[in-house]
Amino acid sequence: MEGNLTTAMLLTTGAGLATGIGGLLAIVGRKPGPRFMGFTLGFSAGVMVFVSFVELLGHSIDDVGEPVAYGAFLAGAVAFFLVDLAVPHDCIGHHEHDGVLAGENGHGRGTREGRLMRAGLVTAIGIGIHNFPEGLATFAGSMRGTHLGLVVGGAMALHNIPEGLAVAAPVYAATGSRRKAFGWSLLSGLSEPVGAGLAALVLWPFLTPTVLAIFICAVAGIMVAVAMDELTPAAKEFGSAHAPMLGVLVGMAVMAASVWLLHAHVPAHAH
Amino acid sequence: MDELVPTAKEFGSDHTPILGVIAGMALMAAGLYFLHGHMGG
Repeated sequence: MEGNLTTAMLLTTGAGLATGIGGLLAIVGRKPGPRFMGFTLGFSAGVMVFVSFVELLGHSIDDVGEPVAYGAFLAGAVAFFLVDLAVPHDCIGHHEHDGVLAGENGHGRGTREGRLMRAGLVTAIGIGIHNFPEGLATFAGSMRGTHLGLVVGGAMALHNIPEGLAVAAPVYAATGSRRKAFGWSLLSGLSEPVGAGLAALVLWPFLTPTVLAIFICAVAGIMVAVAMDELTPAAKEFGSAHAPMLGVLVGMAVMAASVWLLHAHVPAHAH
Repeated sequence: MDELVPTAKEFGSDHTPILGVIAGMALMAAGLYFLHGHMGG
């Protein structure tokens, strides 16, 4: 191996923390209005759905076959449903704050904020899990050589910016706190260096491609369920008729461009 | 995403819409699997 451990860890950490740039994009400027929030939540949903079906499920089908991939995907969605049943909707993130974040509909703010907070946290966890193998990929690429590490790390960093935005938008909408929104977006990216660190230390022999593919399918199922059950309805509740769908389309387009760039510039074995 | 899920949510039941989404996806997954299985795809 040409690369060294320090370079690999630095590149992986830099790529992972790019989610913070996405988080910053969600919180800069003045307090966002309902149209902006509808758009960014729709954007988050678009990112989640596109990544899940195209990047996660699509590639995993090649590795484990349709029945296993579909089964793991649906198991992830059902797991989200069971958690949804078990966790009372009003008990999380019931914050009182003023300003335009309340949206135009006005009613059911506590419930909506709870759902948004949960959506943000589940998105952060989902993206964190999704970033874990990306950390492994960046680490593996960097250990093969610094040039490949830079290419893989750069592509992963670009890929992580909209993901950070997807985490920060619902957290910001739920809490009105820039610090929390930015912090969670940053935290979701930390799983990349954690993934790399664990890979370097212990997990490498146990993470077979099959295990990883099944795990990724389940994550895809969770992310689609979050987008459908939490993000899209919450985006619609902000009152703007067309901003959420525009956000969904832009989110999908940005992720399509990001995935295409990743595939075009990074060798297939590195992602 | 723009019409059906938010409309389903408006009917008041918190959990039924996502259960419907999962059932719909399961049905399509089975459909795709059988389609590819019988067409050699």
